Amino acid sequence: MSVRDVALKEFRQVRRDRRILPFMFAVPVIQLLLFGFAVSTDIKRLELVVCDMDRSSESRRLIRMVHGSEYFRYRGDVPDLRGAGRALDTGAAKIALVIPPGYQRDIVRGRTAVVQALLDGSDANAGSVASSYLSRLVQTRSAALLEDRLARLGAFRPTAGGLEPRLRLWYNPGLESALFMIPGVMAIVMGLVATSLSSMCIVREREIGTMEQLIVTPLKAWELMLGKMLPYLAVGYVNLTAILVVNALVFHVPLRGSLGLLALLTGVFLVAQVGLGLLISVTSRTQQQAQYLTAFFFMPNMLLSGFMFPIENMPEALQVVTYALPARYFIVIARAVFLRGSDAWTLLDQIVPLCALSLLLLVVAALQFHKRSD
Amino acid sequence: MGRQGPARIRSRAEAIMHKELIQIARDPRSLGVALLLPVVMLILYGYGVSGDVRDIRMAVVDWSRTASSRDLVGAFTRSGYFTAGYRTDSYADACAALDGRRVKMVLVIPADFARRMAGGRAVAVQCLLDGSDPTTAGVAGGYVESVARTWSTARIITRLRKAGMGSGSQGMPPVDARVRVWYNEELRNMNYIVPGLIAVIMMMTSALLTSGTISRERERGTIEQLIASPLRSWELMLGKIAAYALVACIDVVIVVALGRAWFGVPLRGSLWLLAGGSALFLMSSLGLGLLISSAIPSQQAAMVAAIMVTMVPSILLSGFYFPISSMPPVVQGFTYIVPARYFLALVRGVFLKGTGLPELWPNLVALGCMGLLLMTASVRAFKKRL
Repeated sequence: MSVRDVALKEFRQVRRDRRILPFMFAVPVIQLLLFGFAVSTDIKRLELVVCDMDRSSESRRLIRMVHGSEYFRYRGDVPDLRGAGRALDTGAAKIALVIPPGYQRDIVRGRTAVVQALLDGSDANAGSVASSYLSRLVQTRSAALLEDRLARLGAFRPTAGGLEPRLRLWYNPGLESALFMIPGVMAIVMGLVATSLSSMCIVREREIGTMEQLIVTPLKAWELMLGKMLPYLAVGYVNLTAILVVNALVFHVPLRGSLGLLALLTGVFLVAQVGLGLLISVTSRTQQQAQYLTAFFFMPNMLLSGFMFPIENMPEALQVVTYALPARYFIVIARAVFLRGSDAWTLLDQIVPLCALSLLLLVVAALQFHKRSD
Repeated sequence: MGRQGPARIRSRAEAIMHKELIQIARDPRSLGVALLLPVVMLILYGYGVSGDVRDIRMAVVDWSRTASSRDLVGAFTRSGYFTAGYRTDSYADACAALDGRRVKMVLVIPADFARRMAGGRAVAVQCLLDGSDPTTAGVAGGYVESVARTWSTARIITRLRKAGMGSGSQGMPPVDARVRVWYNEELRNMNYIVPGLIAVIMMMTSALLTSGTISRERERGTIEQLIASPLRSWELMLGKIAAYALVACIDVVIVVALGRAWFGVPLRGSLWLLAGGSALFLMSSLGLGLLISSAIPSQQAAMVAAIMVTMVPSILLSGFYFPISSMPPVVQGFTYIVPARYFLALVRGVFLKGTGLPELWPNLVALGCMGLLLMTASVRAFKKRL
């Protein structure tokens, strides 16, 4: 019996379970689609109701501006403040724009007209974004009115010293979430499949009672580990291929760097994730336990790996924790290879810790296995 | 079955629950994980995940070197969103800083900035933003526009005043927006996250824990014993569910207590409504877990499936963090079959808005229907497998 035999056996076991196959192929694809389409950190189309108590040409003009904005979705008019409150209470609207009577009159007389916005703050993030969108919209109208006023006074040219920021986005010109998300999803999905499948593989033998047979074979611990590992690495590469194909067909995130480099580092990352799975498997007594531990690991992993939230915004103590996560390095690598076309040399500060981490996980898993099989 | 204290165990479902509880208790590590998970998640979300973008490091290339260009840079840093971390005359150096991720933005002020400003002409300043993190970049872009607009307005008003025309009301901005925030007045992220976490944690513990129960009996070969017992399949299901429902309930109590006591999240509505909604939601999440467990023979596959159909949608498609209204219409359609969506609306309504049955009943009805459907489906799937 050799490493090859263990790998073949493990592979056969995974394959024999017909129902697991679609999961291995469909899971990454579905997750990629979900994350790519659903997880957009852009806040758009927030439901808005309007309470126009002025009903003037000026108020209608402001409402038209709101209509034209992609940030808000107009959900109808409400007659009074009570109606606006009800719309927020039932969740029919996130924001209610209230234009008080006398709005146009104030503007004409040169006073500051105040519009009110009621905002559902329960979603703090969307709330603050919506509030800034609306303020900007009103500011735009205000600036236009001010310039009109200046023009009427004949003092200045209409564009009286306006400042125009020209925003240019590097690496991701359309500011598409997908560009940012897809490389991260790759890491999360491949890591999830690799760790969750491999976390079961040794503890299952123990539960079924076939562990003794493996131990009495002349295999060394590391040979057994390697054999257990190879099928899951292969599954990981199948996942990678599926993800790249779906990306090419649906999301079109450009791969500016080298595919070879990406594939190579994916291998290192997979070794780390499978190593983690094996470590969980070796130290668990039952499959259920392994399952809990994997799930327990994945929630923080999703949050802390920098996949959705930038690591540099986290407090120091948590930033330290992130250094122990293989996905942290691989996400940076994947994004850089995809979006910036970086080469191995510029990514050395990520590659070295990733390699060290996967080696460490492997060694610890093998040591634990050795200890427990005696 | 039912040997452990026959006098006290009244029904067969109770016996199964008893057995399942013993099984849970015998594995303190798993139980520890199940109970520790909510605490860890709360701490992570409470301290780690901040949607706020502040102190954006900016490289300044000021080719104008005038009072008004310095005033503009000051307007950026005074806003609290930007820090001028790096000043240089070389455009290439600034770009290199952006490339090396030392700064997130480059502000380029042209040489003719002050002259054009004085002449009352429009001036363009260039802002290069690192778009590889679209969240930060999008927010930063918004800040840039807001700073620029405020600055321009202030300039116009000073010029009006200087010209002697801005005395009194003429020098005021014509329109002003006053935003009043309801339910979460300080826009605290925690007030949004904690109620959402209740749903995610309930889904995780209940569905994930149950997803292995039946496949485990099958793998170990103890399923025959269960089948041979006089248990009806719904009794078996009920017994299995009850044990995990208990664990999930303890988790919820932990989250609610920690959220209120430690993070100060307000609970404005009725606790009874929350409890009722939780019960209905538990029905659907446990039903989902059992359905997976009955339909999929191996624990390994059942687990991957459970993560796929429970954890991922409850986090991504429920509106837990990503607003449903911002998703594309097709994905929005999908969210209607995710039970967590209705539960989240209910939990947030009860916690933050203090709303009651008149506003929230549609969510209860949806949860009830889904719960019944999933339970029935799981009992049937189990029967068929026998």
